[in-house]
Amino acid sequence: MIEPLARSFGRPGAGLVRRFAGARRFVGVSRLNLLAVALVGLVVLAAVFGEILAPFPPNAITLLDRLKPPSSIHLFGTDDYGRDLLSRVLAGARISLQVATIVLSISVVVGTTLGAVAGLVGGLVDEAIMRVTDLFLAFPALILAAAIAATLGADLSTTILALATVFWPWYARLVRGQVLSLREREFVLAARVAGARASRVVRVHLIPNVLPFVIVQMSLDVGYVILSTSALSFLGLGAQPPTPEWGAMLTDARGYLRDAWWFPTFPGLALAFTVVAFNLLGDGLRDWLDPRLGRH
Amino acid sequence: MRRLLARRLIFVVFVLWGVTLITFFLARVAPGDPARLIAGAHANAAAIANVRALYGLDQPLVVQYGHYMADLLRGDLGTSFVTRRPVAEDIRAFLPATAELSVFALLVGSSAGIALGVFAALRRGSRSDAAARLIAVASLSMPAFWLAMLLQLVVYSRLGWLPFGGRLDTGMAPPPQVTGFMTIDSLLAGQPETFVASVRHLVMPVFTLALAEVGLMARIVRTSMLEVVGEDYIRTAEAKGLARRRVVVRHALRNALLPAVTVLGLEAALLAGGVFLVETIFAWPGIGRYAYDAIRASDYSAIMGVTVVGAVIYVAINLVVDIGYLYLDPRIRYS
Repeated sequence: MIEPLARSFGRPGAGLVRRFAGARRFVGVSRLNLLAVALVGLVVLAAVFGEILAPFPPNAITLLDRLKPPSSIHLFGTDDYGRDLLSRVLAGARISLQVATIVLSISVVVGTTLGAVAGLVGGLVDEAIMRVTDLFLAFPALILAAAIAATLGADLSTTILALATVFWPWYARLVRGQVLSLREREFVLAARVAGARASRVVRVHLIPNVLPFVIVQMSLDVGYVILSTSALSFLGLGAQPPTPEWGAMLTDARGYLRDAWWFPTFPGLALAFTVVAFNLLGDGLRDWLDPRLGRH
Repeated sequence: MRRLLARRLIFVVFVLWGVTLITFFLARVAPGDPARLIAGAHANAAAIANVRALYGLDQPLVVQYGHYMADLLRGDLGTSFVTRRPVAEDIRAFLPATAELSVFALLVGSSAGIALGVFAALRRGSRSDAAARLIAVASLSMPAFWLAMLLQLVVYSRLGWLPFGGRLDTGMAPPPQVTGFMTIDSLLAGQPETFVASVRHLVMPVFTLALAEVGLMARIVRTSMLEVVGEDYIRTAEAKGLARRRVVVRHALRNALLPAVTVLGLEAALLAGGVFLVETIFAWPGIGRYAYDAIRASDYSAIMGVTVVGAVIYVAINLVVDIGYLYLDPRIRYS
């Protein structure tokens, strides 16, 4: 979905790890970065403390309060079952972040392992792993995810599986590229000439230098995973009612566009807000770490 | 050069074969029994067994895959049991609508993205640059299905400015099909009213679809423009006293667009996902909507057909992009 970092990074910067250590400086570089960190913080807070902050249980039905406009009792109004939209939007934040965390954890573990093995072993193993990776990249992502979700049955857990299938190849490709270029770098060659064992080279030289790229890619992907999760739910292939997932809420809202403007507006705003926050953070991190732009 | 091309072609064949393998087995591990689905909800055991024998579903998977591949190579994608027509025919019927939507979205999105990227790069570090970055990120982050709902709510329901759903107004006869593009065909047939209607129907779906392209293109163009403007030949061009406009367009942008060509493949992927959502919401009679209906009805022949055709188009676009890149970059062309 997004260009792999391996392509946008010409050469890996030597002091990437040190740069990460000075994360505070990242915020000072641009006001947009500060904004991104603040927005992401807000979303995470909503996800963690949403349950305490929510005025009502997210699935509590009060048919007498059907489709009530925003008021002091229901700040975001109510939906077609009289459920409090603010409480449901808050619960949705937790679901989205949970799904994104699980999808990216699976993708990173599978992708990084395969990419590292391909880059380190080389030869036929490399060829085999990378051709399989290319195969998965040959499908348009959302359509493959939709086909998998449709085949396995609509449910949040199949959404997770489907999205992990779509996202891991990017990590495999990214990590392999980094490992290949690092293998030929002087400090790695020097370590090997000095007699360091392979496990030490991987632990001390490869992992710390590959990790920042993986983290940046993850921060860029969080938004896309959340967006894709909602898209699948919206199409009826993901979370099912009454789960307060943003995309599923928007599907419900489709029938009430004319009568209740708040019903599609607030879940959609929450989704757009969250994706913008993470994309802004990922974009800022990438620009900050991209040595070619030489801003610092 | 020739070896590179040969390698690419072999790879393309491998990928397409892999795609058929994945789609075939994905469809077969599905929990629903295809024979039961084809025979209908009220069929008895004997009828289901009949269907199973008729479609070869009682044979081993490998044999079934062999039959499937043999049919595929003859251009037979099976029969949709929803439309009761050959899937290949369905796809031919629905493809032009998708092509028209995608081509316009790509044109609109890329031009806007290039403009935004150049604008941001030339004002690097300024407030305008930050604003352009914010616009680019926001355009990539906008949920297409939500935007479509907002457009439907405001532009169609409240303001009544544009029509919603379909390619032409209800009751309007489509022009004789030449290119499959309503806009071009209506002009060729000399039907200005149909032309206006087709353009009005295109505006909202194209806007929704193009938005994500803007962000992707703007990011790439900004980065590559920033690299290019630091080059010696730009300084030379400026030192020669060339007008700034000429330096930007003729010298900088021409070179900066080269990396943008490589993202066209990614744009196509983004577009494919977008088409799927946008067509479904705007009731646009294209492949995306057909695929959605097929998925909802567990119509496996149709799902497999669309996936395979989609992958073929996607791989073909990427191949053209690769070859185009080889020709555009003299360092590779002459190696």
